[in-house]
Amino acid sequence: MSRRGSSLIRLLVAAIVVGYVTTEFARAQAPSAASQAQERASITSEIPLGAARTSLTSAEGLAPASPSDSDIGDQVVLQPQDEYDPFTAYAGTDFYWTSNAELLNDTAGSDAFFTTTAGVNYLPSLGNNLFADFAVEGSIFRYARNAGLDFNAFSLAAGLVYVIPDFHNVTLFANYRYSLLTNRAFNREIYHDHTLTGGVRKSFALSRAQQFYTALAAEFSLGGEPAYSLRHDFAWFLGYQADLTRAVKLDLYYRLAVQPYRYADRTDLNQLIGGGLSFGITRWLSVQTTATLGINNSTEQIYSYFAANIGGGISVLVNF
Amino acid sequence: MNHLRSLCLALVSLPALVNPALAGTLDSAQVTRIFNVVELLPPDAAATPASVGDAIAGQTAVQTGSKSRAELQFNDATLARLGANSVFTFEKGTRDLDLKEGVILLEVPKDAGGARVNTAAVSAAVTGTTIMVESRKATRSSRGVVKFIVLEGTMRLFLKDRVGESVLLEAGQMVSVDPDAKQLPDPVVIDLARLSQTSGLMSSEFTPLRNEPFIVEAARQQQALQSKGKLIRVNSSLNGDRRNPVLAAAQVNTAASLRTDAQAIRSDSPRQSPPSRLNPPNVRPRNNPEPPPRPPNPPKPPKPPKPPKPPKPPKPPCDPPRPPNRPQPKPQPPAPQPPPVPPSPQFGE
Repeated sequence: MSRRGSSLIRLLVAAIVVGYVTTEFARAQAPSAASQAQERASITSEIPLGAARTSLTSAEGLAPASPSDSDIGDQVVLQPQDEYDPFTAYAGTDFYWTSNAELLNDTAGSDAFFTTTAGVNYLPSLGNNLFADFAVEGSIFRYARNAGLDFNAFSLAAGLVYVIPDFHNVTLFANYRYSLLTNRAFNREIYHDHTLTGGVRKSFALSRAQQFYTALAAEFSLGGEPAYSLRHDFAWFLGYQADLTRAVKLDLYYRLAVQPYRYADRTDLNQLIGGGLSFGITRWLSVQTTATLGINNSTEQIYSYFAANIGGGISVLVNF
Repeated sequence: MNHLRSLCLALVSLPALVNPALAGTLDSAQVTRIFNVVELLPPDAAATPASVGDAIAGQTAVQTGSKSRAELQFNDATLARLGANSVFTFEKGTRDLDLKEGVILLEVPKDAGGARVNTAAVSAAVTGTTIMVESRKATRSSRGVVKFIVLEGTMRLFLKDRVGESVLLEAGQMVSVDPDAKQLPDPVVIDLARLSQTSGLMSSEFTPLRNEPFIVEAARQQQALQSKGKLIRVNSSLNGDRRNPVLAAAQVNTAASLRTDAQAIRSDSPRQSPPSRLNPPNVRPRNNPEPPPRPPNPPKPPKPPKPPKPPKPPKPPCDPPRPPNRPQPKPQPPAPQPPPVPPSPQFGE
C-alpha cells in the first residue's frame, strides 16, 4: 500500500467517525417534548377516522383479499424489525466471462475476470423516516488474459434517504460520492471523481413475494482526474424482484443512462439489461449467478460497443 | 409499558371473563343505523325489515344484504357494526356474541367486562377492546376465511376443539385463518392508519367510535416505529438501499467503462498503458477516411527551465579602494516566462 493508500484509509475512517457522531447527535436531539407533541398532532390530523374510504389503488404489501375488505379496509402488512441494524457489512467474490473486456467497439476480445468486493454501509435512522447513508466499498478486478486491464476501485459515499409512506412509499435519496480507480499494484491512480447524486425510487408490490420498482437518478460530476473521463450520468432504472422460494430470489433489471462528458465532445447512451438468481444458504451467506447485456451508443464510434457478461459467485452479508 | 398496561387490564377483567355475571350481561340491543337492506330474524318467525330504534332481544339475529350495513347499541354501551352479507346474534344473559357469517366491528367499553365472540372455527375473548371479525364459509368460487383484527386493546383467540391452540393479539395485529385450520398462524402487523382511513365500518356514515382515541394512539405508535425503521412495509423500498449481490453486477460494467475511459487518456504514456486498441493505428476504422477519432494527446510542453540563480559577485580578495560613488552592479532577474499551456480538453481534434 502506498502513501495514497494509507491516506485513503485515514479518509475513510474519518468519514465513518464523523458520520457516526453526526447521526448520534441528531438522534439525541430528536425526541424533544415539543417535537413529540407536534408529531402527535400531525399524526392525529393524518388519520381522519371516519373519512370516506378509498379504493385499493396499489398492492403495497396487502394481505390476501377476502370478501369483506371493503368493510374492513386496506390491510397493509407491516414487518417488525425486532432490532433495527443500521450497519451492513458485506464481501463477495464473483467470476465472470465477458465478451468484450475492453468495452470498445472494434475489439473482439473476450476474457474472464474475477472481482472481489468488500464494503460497509451505515444507514442510521434520524427519525421521521429520514435516514443517513454512509458507504465505503472497495473492489479489485483481475483479468485472465489482459492483465493490463486489471484495476481496483474504491468509493466513499455520504448522503440521506427519505421515505415518504404517505406518498405511495416513495423514497428520495441524495449523496456525495468519491470514487477512485487505481492500477493493479495500487500505486498509480487511474481515475478519481467527486459526484453528487439525487434521485427518487418507487416500488410497486405485486404481492408479498414480488415487486416492481423504478428509480430516476441524476449524478453530477463535480471534478476529478483525468478531466476527459469526467461525465454526468442521468439514469432510469426498472427492476423486478421475486422471492421464488424462501431461499431463492430472482432479480431482473434494466438501466438506461445518458452520459454527457464534461470536457469531451462526447455523449453516451448506455443500456444495461441484467438478471440473476441468488440462493441464500444461511441468513448471511448466499451464492448467486448473474448475467448482463450492455449496449453503449456513443457519439465517438470507438466507444459504441456491446458486451455480455455472465458469471456467479458467493457473498457474505451481515447486519449489525 | 404497553404490555404492562395490557396485563393489568386483562387481570382486572379476568373475573368478568370467567364469570360474566360479575359484569353486566348483554340483554338487549337497539338498532341505531341502517344502510340499505337490514332484516331481523327472530327464532321461529319470519324475517322482518329492521328500522332504526328497533329493540333486539336475545336469539334474534340481524341480517344484512349486499352493500348494506347496520349498527347496534347494547344495553352496556357495547357497539356492533355489521358489514354486508352478515348474520349476527347474541345470547341474552351472557356476554357471548355469534357471527354466523359476514363481518363485524365490535367495540367493547373498557369497563363493560369483556365479551366472547364466536365464529364457526375460532373464538375470541376480549376485554375493553375494539376489533373486527370476518367469517366466511367456503363457496364454490372462494375459500372460507376467518379473520380477526385488533384496532386497540388486546384479544385472545382460541381454535375450537383444539385445546391449547390460542394466540394473543395486540393492537394492530391480524390473524387470518382457514376455517378448517388445525392451528392458528402467527399474527401479522397491519397499518392501522391505512385501515382506519379505508374502512367502510369506520367511515363517516357512522358516528365516531368511543374508543377512537385509543385507536389513534395505537396508530401513532405504529408510525413512530415506522419512522425509526423498526416497523417497515413489506417490500419497502428502503430495502433497496441494502446491497443486493445480483444488482451489484450492474456496477461491474460501470466501473470497467470508467477504467476504459481513464486508461485511454493515459495512452500517451507507453510504459503505463494497458494493451488498449485505443492506441493508433488500431483505432482508425478501415473504411473511414476521417482521421482517427482519438489521437494520442499532444505531449505536454516542457516546463520552462528554472532560471539559474545569478552568481553572487565575488568578493574582492582584499579591499581595493572603491570609487566613492560608484554603485555595485546588481544581477538582472530573468524575463518572466508565460505559464505552461495546459493540454486542450477537446478530445479528438
